[in-house]
Amino acid sequence: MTSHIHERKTVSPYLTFVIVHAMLFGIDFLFLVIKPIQMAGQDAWTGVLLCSVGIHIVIVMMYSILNRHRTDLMHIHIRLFGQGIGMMLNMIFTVYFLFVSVYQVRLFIEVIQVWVFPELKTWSLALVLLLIAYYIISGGFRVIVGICMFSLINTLFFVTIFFMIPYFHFNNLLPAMSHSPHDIFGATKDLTTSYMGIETLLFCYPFIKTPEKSQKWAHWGVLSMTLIYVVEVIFTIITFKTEQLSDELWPGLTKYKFIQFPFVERFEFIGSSATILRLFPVICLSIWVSNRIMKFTFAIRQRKVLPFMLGLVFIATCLIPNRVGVDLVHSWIRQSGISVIFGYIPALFLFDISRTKVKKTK
Amino acid sequence: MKRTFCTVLMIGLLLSACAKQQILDKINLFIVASFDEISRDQLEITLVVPRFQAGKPEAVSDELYSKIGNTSTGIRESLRAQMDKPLQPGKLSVVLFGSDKASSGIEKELDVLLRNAFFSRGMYLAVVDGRAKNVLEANFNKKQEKGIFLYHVLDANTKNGTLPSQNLHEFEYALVGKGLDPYLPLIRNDHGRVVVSGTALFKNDKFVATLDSSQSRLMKLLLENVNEGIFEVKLDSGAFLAIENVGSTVKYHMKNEAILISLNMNCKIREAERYSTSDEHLRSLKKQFKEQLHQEETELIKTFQKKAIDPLGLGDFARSRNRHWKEEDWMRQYPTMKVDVDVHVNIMESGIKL
Amino acid sequence: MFDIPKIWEEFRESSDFVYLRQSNHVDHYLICFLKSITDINVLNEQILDFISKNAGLLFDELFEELPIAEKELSSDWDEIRNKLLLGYVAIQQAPTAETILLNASSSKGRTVSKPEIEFNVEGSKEALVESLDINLNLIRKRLPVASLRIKELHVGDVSKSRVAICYIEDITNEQYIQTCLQRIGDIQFDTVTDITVIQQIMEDNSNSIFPQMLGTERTDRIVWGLTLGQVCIVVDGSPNAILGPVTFQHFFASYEDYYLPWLIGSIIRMIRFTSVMFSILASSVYVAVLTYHGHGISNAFLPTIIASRINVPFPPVVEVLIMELAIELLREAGARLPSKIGQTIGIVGGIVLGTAAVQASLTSNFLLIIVALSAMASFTTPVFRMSNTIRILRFPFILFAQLWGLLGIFMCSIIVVTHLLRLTSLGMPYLVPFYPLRLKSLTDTIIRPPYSKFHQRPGFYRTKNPARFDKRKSNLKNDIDE
Repeated sequence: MTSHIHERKTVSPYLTFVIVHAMLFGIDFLFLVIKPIQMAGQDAWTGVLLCSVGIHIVIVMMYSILNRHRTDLMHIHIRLFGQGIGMMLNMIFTVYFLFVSVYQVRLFIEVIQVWVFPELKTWSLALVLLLIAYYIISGGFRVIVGICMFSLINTLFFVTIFFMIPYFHFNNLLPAMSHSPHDIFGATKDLTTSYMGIETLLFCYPFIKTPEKSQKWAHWGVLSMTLIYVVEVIFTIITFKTEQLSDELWPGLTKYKFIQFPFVERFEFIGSSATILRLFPVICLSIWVSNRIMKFTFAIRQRKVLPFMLGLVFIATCLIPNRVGVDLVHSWIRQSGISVIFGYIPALFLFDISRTKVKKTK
Repeated sequence: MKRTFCTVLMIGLLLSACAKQQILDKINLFIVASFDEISRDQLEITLVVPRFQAGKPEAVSDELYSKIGNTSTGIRESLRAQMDKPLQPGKLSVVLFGSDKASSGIEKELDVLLRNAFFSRGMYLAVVDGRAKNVLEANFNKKQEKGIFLYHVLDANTKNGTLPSQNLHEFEYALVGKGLDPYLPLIRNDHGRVVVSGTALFKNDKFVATLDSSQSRLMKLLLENVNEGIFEVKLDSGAFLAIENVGSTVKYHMKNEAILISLNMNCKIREAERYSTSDEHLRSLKKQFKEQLHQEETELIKTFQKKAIDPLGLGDFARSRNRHWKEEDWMRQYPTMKVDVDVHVNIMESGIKL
Repeated sequence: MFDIPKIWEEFRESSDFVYLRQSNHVDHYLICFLKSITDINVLNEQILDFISKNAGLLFDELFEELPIAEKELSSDWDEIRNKLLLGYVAIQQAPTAETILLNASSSKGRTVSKPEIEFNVEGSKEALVESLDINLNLIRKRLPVASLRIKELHVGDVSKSRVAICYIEDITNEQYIQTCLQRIGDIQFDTVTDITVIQQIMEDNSNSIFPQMLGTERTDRIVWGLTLGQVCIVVDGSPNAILGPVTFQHFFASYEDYYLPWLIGSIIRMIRFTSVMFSILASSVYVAVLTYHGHGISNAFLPTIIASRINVPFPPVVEVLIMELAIELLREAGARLPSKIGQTIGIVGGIVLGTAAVQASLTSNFLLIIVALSAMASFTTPVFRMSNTIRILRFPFILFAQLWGLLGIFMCSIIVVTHLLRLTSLGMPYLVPFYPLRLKSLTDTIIRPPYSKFHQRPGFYRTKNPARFDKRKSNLKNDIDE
């Protein structure tokens, strides 16, 4: 049942780095530092490192499963659990990825409504965003990864963090290690959300030329994001007092308020508009994955399912009315994301290992 | 398929073109605003709206709008009724508080400035000695827009000058941070001219004490590394000398429960009338300047301690060196705490004459 | 069976068809040709002269002894008729079935002249002309290698244009050659008057505003492309050739970059890239900022901008559209008129109208500067089709900027980037070497590296022979004082 992807449709292994980078550098990045810093204060950066170690282990598990079966997760499901349960698991993943994209679209619209256009209607912006997403996704996997690569321009905006140097208070990092392990683990758990998105690799696997070689790049991607997270956390700690952060909703965007150029006095409207670059890789990959699963399960053309999927996302996006709704969806996504990454993948890994061992002994 | 896609895209575009336009020359901007207290619950807001003339960017006239009400956003709403164009608050760069308003607390107004995504965190705040509206009414500059002028005055004297100041972000940082208190520059209307006359010290969000400009300069020396400013030294002979600071560094140390501030200053002699700068004289001059500086700085810190305010952030410093630091304990200790100032002076040059 | 009197019936309406009987007292010949495309001198001095002096030859002997290089013996009606249309002379001895065809065609056309579109200061001043034979001569002259292959096809049922596909056998990837041959072979269009017709028909996505083949009139550029592994297509009757496959960045590289010292060439190329970005974005950013993000302009700049616009009655988008259309109008008027009048139009339009528009408060000074600058910047694009694209691309950006401000500009850039990602040129990704990233091929993109760095052909052409010269030898340097 191995799926064969035409070589023209596959991408080079190094692009795994780009996929991981773009998935992790999403809109969540703009506020993910708040909770860990509230919990672990100036020691929050150790939480980032701890979490990154955990993610590296999960990637090793993922690749060990994938390399053994040499196909993507939806085929593995069927192979391990049979037609019925496998299908069901696949459908759960479809729903999960659709929810992720709904959440991301709504979150982006929230950013725009707060920072740029307070009067903008949710549905209008969602409609346009999803139409653009349709154009990207119908170009296929290569185009989606190309957009991921284009979105790396965002890393340039990250460099603007150095405009805040006059506001740095290095005293805030001291006294080091004054929080209990309990606090630090709490921060670590909260940071897991920021690493959500690596589970797409389970589905992109067959689209990578010589996929075994891509594991190295996935690790590099996580490593570079870890570096960015650590820098972000440390810079946030030395720019803001913890008490200030508890009132901020988007510290990642508030930072743009410190940047001034001779022509442009406010950078935040540029920065918040540029969040669109964070949005598209995440929603396009997520919708693409759920599309693939639908195609596999019901044997219909992706071109037929895609408008239907986008319609679902559109309706769901419009149903989230306000900040409270966004927060609610966020907590669901967080829970399910953590359970996928740290619950489901290790469980699948163990199940797979024990199954092969049982086979061997037979 | 493609055609339907295109039509849907076009319809979507046209239907959803409902972002509210704010065309730059069809809105009223204001760069400076002031808050004054009228009575316990009532406050007066004054906005300076610049009027531009076509083709002459330098000919700007200002129009004052002022209104009394209960909340600042409510006042803004009623101000709108007097105006020909909608009001856009995003350009606000300088906020002045009347001294009455400042002494009764400015937390509510700060919240308005911090909550709105359109306001800059780099805007200057300042306290006016007296009513803030009086400063804005004064006709202090004909060539420039009042707000831009005030912004430049504050910028030249505080951020890039010798007086201490905090912008909106720094003020909030000091306000909510534990173990430090905020401060703002103090502005005065001196016969139709705007003068930055000193520093207003805050306890929480309330204005409690003032420093004059020479004290303010001493305070800035303790806050950060400074590389300008003239200091006058009184010699034993009764003559005065002017010494320019060309680079001072300040460092805080913790020494058995006491704080030691070491201040290191490189300076140049600027005015040395009737005074020969020989080696011997230089040494005694150096000693005198050092003593004078030490004495003034110690006095300044004593004043802070007496009023139980901490603009230098000594509490924050102590917190970073002590794992078990508690705000209440610190507040109890602070007024009687031992703070030493260790001054080093290095006279580098005496100009191009001996 | 071909019969000259019969063909006379077919062609008698054309006044340039000549049918004559020639005799040398022994034999009688029927001769016909189209005098408009036949060289009369050749006919008189070589053919007729030879016939009249050599009486008594057999028809086969006559064919062998005629002093003409291109001659054939045929009896196929269609072939003979087609050859006649190309300038051949047909000779028949009354009773025989065979016909002698002699090439005496004369083609009148321009001589080789200076490049007009891709003008340059340094380097060769030689451009293609309308004659395919001259063009192939120009190319062959610069590439004296046996492996230069020229394949000729005929395209168009009516025009029967000769299309030549040139490539270097041991460099160019077979796949690109086959794609070209197949696509040109499939062309159904009846009249091919120019290479651009072929280009538009054979491009991968003919609905795109981006050109996917590089049109050029410079022979040095063609030769450079051929040696890198591109295929060149030339059509008889067109003074342009197209090169493919190409990538996006090729359209911003002027060939003169290669003639300047590499540092200067690189800096000029980078200026060109920035000016293209400026040209696309400047007016849309103006619309976005003035319509939605006015508070972002710095205090120092604010009075200037407001004072220049305060009496303009239109919203920024109308103002920008008026100005952009005015510039397009100027360009179009200048292009359609003889060059001397064109200059006058430029002066009247640019200076007189511009000043008057500002004084009448129809536009702001500031916008006038932006629009003029971005128009100028768009003309720095060295390839004409791309500079058209750049100018048209501005309008969707302006529309999006009006709808959603800066956010709209970001959206539009994402759409454009997606479009570019989806494009291919003869099956090669359009954005290579940026995406998919080919680090080794990045050397000759934004900067123009020194010639010692050109030791390999760009990897994305997938050439049969990637090495151009031995890198180690070129990098040898003498030690100090040796």
